[in-house]
Amino acid sequence: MQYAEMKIREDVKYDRNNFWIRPDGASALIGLTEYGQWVIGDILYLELDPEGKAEAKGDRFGSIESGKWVGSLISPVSGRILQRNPVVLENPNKVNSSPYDEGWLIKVELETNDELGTFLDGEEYRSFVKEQMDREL
Amino acid sequence: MKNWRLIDSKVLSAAENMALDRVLLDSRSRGLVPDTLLFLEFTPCALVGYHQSVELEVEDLYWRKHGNEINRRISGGGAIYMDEGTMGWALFADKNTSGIPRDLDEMYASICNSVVIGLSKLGVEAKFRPKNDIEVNGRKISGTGGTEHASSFLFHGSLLIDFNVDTMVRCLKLPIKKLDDKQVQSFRQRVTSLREILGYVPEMRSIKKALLEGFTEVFGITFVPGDMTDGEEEMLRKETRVFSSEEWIRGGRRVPQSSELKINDYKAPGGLIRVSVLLDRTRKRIKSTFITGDFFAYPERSILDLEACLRNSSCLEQDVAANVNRYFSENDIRIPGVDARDMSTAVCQAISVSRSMM
Repeated sequence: MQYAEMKIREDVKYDRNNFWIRPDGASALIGLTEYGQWVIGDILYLELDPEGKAEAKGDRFGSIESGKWVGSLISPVSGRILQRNPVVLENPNKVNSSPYDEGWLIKVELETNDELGTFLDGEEYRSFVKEQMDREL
Repeated sequence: MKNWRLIDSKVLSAAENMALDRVLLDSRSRGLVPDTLLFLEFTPCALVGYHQSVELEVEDLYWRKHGNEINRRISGGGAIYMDEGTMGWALFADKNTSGIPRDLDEMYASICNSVVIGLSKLGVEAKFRPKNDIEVNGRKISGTGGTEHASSFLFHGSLLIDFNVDTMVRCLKLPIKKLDDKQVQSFRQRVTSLREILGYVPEMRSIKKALLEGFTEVFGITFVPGDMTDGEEEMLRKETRVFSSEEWIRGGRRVPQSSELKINDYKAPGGLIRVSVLLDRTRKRIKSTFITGDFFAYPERSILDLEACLRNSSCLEQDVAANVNRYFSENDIRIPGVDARDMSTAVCQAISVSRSMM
């Protein structure tokens, strides 16, 4: 995939582990970005921590497997998992085909709103992705 | 030249070997130890991939009867059988180690190619088969997989030295149950070993030396024989208890999955195509296929490559057809009387037959 084709939305925040965060009051939806899923490749297995579990920012909240590689899903925020997306648990490939919509991962009750200020906006994330892709070339 | 620690582990139990992967990855990611290459030796055991379910992959009755170990890797991929006729190699390194690509596909290729070069020192002409196998004339001799923790990664592989295929066939749930002896014999041709290729079993130290030379040539690494630190030894004792637990080996994996075996015969103008397919309908994936019949394929390995291409792919009819068509159009495949449409129909019919064999 070319950099120009990479979908980066303006209505969400981003972290440097390629997660998007969509805050909604005291909670937030979290998913992998288009670039994040592209780096991982065709997702074969996806495991998410159970609902109710509290995660600190930086904790592993699940695992993901593609091409015999198991990667960690690292929580961008501190909070409690309110909901796991049943669609991606059933069909992990949705994270590949619809990373910003049907393929969201978890809904989290935020422990604090203070962490939200640390995220990148669309423009900043675009530069981050470009830097990453240039480094890979 | 970069200096790496080399740990040449003695024969350990499956639980200890699997725990060792976690310990070395953890200590490398905490910066407590240098990049490390580990050689492992095994007693008979079945190892499932991190996300797999033991009951779907392993013939439990066989293992209970023989008292051998089953365990779970921290890396991905499918179930494997390991014993004294196999060995393992594993790299634990920082993700930013110069010379090792960060892109996974490129990392697979460069590390596997260093093993290929190592095998050439033994007189074995192996090749890397994307995504992450090493083969000799289309027959698998090494499978690989990996994982990561914080800033470090583990990439490891098996090497078949004097492999007991019959035991593997008996102890893993492979897509060959209900097939006759001739077809099972054909399945055996999917793997090979150093003994089969060379006609003798090289000494373990010669094999390790050859692999080290391959890594040195590709990555410019100097290996310094070393031991685990006291902290690693202590952590290994603790982690071995975790890895020996039923919770780790069979505990509730939270990934919904299933496994069913389907077999179907399809009569093409060029002959009968028998497709045996292990399906995961929950995840809508083909886990593995085994394609035989009385047709003639050129090159001979083309069917093995097609099986590899279908592994873990979507089992939806339109996706199967697209994958088979792409495979035929991108490769010079000649099967008199069998075209891409016949092959995709044969696979799709096997997927859709109502009889389940497992």
